[in-house]
Amino acid sequence: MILQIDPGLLVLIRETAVLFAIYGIYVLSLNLEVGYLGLPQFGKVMFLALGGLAVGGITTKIALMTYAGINPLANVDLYCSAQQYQAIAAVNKVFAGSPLDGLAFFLLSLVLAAVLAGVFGILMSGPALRLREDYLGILLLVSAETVRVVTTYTPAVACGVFGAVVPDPFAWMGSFRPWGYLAITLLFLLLVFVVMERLANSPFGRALRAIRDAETAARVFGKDIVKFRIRVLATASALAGVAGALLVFYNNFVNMGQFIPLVTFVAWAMLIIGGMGNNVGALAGVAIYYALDRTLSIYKESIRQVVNVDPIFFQYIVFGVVIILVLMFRPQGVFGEKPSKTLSRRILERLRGEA
Amino acid sequence: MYITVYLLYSSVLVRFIYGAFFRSMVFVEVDYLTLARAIIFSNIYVLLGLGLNLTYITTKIPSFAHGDLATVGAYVSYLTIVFLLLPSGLLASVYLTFPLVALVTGAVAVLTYVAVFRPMIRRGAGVTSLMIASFGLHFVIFAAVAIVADYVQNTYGVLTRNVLLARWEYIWPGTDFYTSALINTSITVVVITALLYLLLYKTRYGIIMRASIDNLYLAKAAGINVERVFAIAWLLIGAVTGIAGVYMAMFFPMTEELGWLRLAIMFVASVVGGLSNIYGAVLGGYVVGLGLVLGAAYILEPLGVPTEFQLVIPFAFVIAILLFAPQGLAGIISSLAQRGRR
Repeated sequence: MILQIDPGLLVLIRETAVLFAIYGIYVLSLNLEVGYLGLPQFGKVMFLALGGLAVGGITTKIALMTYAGINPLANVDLYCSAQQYQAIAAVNKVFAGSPLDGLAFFLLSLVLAAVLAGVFGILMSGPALRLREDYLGILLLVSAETVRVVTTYTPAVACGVFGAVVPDPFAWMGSFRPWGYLAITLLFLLLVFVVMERLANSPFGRALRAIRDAETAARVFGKDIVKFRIRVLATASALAGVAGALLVFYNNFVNMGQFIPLVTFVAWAMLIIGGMGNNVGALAGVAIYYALDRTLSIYKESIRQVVNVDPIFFQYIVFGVVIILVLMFRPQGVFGEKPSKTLSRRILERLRGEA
Repeated sequence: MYITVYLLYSSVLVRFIYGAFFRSMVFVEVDYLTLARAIIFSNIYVLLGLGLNLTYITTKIPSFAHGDLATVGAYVSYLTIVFLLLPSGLLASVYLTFPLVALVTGAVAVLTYVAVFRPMIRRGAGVTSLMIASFGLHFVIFAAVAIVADYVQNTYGVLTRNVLLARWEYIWPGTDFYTSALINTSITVVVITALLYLLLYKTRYGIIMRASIDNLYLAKAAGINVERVFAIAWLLIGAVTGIAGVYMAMFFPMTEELGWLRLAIMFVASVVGGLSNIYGAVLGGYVVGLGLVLGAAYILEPLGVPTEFQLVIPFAFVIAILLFAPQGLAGIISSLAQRGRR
């Protein structure tokens, strides 16, 4: 007997799972900066935006020139307001026939997103070395806003306020595209999770925690704090860039105006609810957030019967209250930070015996 | 000194200065309206920055919920006018609503301090978690305002979104709206900074407050109830920010996002002046307001850059300030003054 599932519910679960995977990568990279290194990263959305920019602003143009022979920069206004959909449809037709071209485009976009965001992360590590916590938070927030304003109101970047349509590199999957994309994002999430987990339990991860908890002591033990911060910012930013690219490919559309500071704070909220300094906690936070969000959105309409106001605002209130309560009564989150896993005592003793 | 500077701004002397200075400069044609707008916005950002700096001094964080206090102020003013002043046939003016605005916004601010920040500080929460808590607070206040706005609109049929409070501004006889707003905001800034000065430097409670701000532990050791002092400070924060919110709603359409959308600029105004100095906000507000409006009109427009880019001017400014002089302009000036004295 096959279990019958409502197709609408199935679609809801599938779409939520894709978002879970993308935000999972995003929040895991935030966890590396915030949970392990203790950086007040209030400009996280900047790197997501740069990932989106790499796809919507750079590789899309390359694809258009290669596959459709259109140069969108020749007349940006005309292209953005009238020609976008036909031009992208032409590119999609090529991808539908040739999976190899699609995959090449996809991988090029991801690499470019990672490089662009990573380079910006290294640039941001300059102030991160000098400023105090609160000032650094403001600087990152303002930098992210600057990136958003500049990219949104420059039409040549990603069609400005119109938003740029992005070719679908998985057009060849046909009707399986949503499921195929879910598999790809989950694969990326798994990869990032394994890397993060290995990183966190390595000497590198332990050094990060040492820097976070006692910077002077870490320095006394010969840890080069500058180098650690630069590496962490570069890695985490590159990962956020990949998440941004995946998000854009999920929507097949990007509007640079969508990268508002709220996106940063949603990630923070997820991380705080789940537990900082714990990769499982970070993912749990994303899961709890989406579970809460979807449940509330199902019951939302019944609120309207009681009070005649837009129910989304009750959701916001619940969201805000949950953040404050978690911070007040369980600052370590659902899953607190665990001591890092080292080799078990038996193996250590054996290694010592051998040495 | 402050007072003389403000008198210069607030009176009709602006036209005088304008005539004497700018008409002689043929290459930069500063028109009166743009200058008026620049000074009005500066005044608004001064008020917002004053509140934000007080927040910083009392809780050691720049609060993300600061813009929402301004939104609360704007809505209190509007609802008071619609439900209290207009039906009673009284003269409908925003100035009649100021006491209520100050009281309600002050109460909201005190509530946020007592319910969220104080318990968290007692539990030893760090700067980052306090900032995130203030973000949670933003959500609560923002959504509460939106719910009230929705409810009033659906129940009483009163328009509560995209309203401008400008029509209830007091217009001085023989002047237009911009001139009146210029005079009124300037008077408000003068009165509020003067009151704050009197409170902080001429009263016993001001001495207690400054002692608590200067050295928390010493003040505690001297038997001062620092938390109560800070609760009073939050009442001031709310009152000042609420009044600033009323002025904001004269120029920006009133929605629940009124303050939140301009939060980054408030941060910039505070940081440029110097977060830990109350009067740094006055300096920062003027730098940001003048830079924003005049920069957009006389630098960006001739270059053909879209006006949306005006936000980048203060942002670039704050990035430069943070990187090269994190103590803010007030800090630079005071250290220069000290060097000069030596």
